[in-house]
Amino acid sequence: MKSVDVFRIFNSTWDNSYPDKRLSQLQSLRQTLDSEHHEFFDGMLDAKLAGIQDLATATVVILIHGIQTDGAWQKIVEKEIGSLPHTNVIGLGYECVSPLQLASPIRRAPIEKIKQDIRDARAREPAARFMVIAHSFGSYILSRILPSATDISFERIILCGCIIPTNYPWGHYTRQMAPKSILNDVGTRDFYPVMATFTSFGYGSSGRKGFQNPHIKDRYFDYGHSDFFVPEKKHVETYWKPFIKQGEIIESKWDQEKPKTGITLLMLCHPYIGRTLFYAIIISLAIVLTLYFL
Amino acid sequence: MFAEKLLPLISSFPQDAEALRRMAEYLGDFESRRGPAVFKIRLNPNRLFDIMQAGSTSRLARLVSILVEGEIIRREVVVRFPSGSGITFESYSDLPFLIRDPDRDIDVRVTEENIEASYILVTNEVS
Repeated sequence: MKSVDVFRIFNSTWDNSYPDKRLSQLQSLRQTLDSEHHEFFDGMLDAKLAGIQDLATATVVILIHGIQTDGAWQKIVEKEIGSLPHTNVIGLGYECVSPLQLASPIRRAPIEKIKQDIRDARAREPAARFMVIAHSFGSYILSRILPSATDISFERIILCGCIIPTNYPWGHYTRQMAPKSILNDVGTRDFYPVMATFTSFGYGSSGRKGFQNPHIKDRYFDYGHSDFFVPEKKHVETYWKPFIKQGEIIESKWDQEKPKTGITLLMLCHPYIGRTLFYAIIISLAIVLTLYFL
Repeated sequence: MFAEKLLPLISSFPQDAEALRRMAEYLGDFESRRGPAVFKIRLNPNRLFDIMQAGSTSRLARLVSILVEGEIIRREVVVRFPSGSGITFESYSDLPFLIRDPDRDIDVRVTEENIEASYILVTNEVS
């Protein structure tokens, strides 16, 4: 049994029992739980007896990491964003995703795991505002959750090192969101989104060239794939904290200074041209090597 | 400083570190102003909710469980009598169905209306 199950069963018992019998019913319920849940259960009872209500201003910020960073950056974000009042930062993780799995279309397990974790977090704090920060493969996971789980929605979304296809129908899946609620922080030295686009299926280069879509605010930085988390850059503090706190978008100077994207890169970013080129080269190499060794 | 007792918990629970840090700051500030009076401090759930800026009941419950299991605070459950006095229990599981009010010499039924929780700091002194 998870703590969210204890939370559910506690609330159900509290809501569905007569006040004069509530205490004895809760005491009986407590006896059925594993001892590891007793303190959490008692804490819930403390709060209920004291008449504490969940705050509408409470905020939950979900963090979804990519496959390379293994969530080390989450601690930096937890410290910075967690210092905001009534803000609970939850770093989510999943089992190791191999490069082979990343390249193949079999990616369901991490998506299902993160989806369930978000639902559990929502069940624990039903009145809270939910926001998400997703990096790299985490952005892909988010893009797969939004269409398949209509009960999951966010007030604000921050993407970085994003590998979601540039033609992703954001307007379709985020109708409830206010304008300027989705930020896509782009690293103009980030090659991973480009590589993901031309070597595999289902990914896009939005983390390199932006979505260029009215639903998303693309913001450009002179960064590589994971430079958003380099402490010296103070990116979380400068750019993400004001957005989480009050939806404030701090403009990046690099938006005006960034170099033009070259035609080769644009071709590689194109899902059909880039992929065709890549596989044509791979097949040609295979043929040449086969002929050479025969 | 009593607040230093929270440092291992802050390291052990990164997701709750900021809330625990607020608790440590509160205790540290109290101790720097009032000295040993910190050991007599008594907090109720509402106060803890404010100090740690929990935001939700489930988060408060989680934070309280961390503090209790980390032996920072200890819960006391008081059953209040109509006369105003009360009897303290260590746990909800110890609460009886009926309890005798010694002032009025009557049995009082224990319900959610007449119990309240509060927390005191755990010290290493033998009581």
